[in-house]
Amino acid sequence: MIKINAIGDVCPIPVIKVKNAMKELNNKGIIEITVDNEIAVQNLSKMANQKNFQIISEKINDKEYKVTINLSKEDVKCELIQDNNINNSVVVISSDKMGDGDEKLGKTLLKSFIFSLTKCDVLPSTIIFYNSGAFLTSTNSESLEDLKTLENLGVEITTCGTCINYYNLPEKPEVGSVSNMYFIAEKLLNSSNVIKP
Amino acid sequence: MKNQELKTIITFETTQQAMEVEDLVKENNIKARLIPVPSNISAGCGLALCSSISEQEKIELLIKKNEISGIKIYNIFY
Repeated sequence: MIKINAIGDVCPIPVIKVKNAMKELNNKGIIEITVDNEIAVQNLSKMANQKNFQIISEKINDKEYKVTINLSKEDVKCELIQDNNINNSVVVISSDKMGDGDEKLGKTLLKSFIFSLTKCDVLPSTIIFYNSGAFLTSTNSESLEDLKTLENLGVEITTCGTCINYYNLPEKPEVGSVSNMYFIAEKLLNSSNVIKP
Repeated sequence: MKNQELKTIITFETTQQAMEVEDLVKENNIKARLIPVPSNISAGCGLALCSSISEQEKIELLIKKNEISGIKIYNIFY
């Protein structure tokens, strides 16, 4: 475990200090860092999330935030993400159809879109399914094979739990995880690039 | 790019035809799927039926039986 005091340090010094500590710890163990502003906490969170390390921050007072990064809680599969050209974009599938117009064409287009993602060189970090989009990760979806391929390539697949419940779909999607609106809102806010086909 | 296998790709004259054939293969339990036409076949924006080579004969027969004309068959790694 390494403790860092970054109070008074200007951006991006806290992040650099943590990066150095990560190297020193050989990406194992815990780093505890104290900073004096919210932006530093956010930057540390972003970096930890990118590297898939667990991060917990605690506001002690207006001028003191304690951030704990657990390097051992690393998702090995997600480490591969970096190698697989995953960028920060999030794809939102909010319907079981792509575009307005003929229903059958819309469903075919959406299937084609998801298939095309499997052939892209750069992949989104996350695909979020909500409203009737939830049908795509459920039993009988014709996109399951493609979505599993994407998941294996490191793309996070997640479906809105409220929607699963509303449409009476099986509780556990065939691919990916279930998430709530807080998670979805955060993912969308944290992404600089949200794609809605 | 990833996991390429030799596949049968069938292109159609219209999107409607492609979707019609997709229904036909489903009804006949043939493993095939619609995909956007691979760009090394055509720069167009159509849909194509993609299957393993082993299903090709069955699909061709089905297409002939249903009198769908104007198709093109390709074998490519995809």
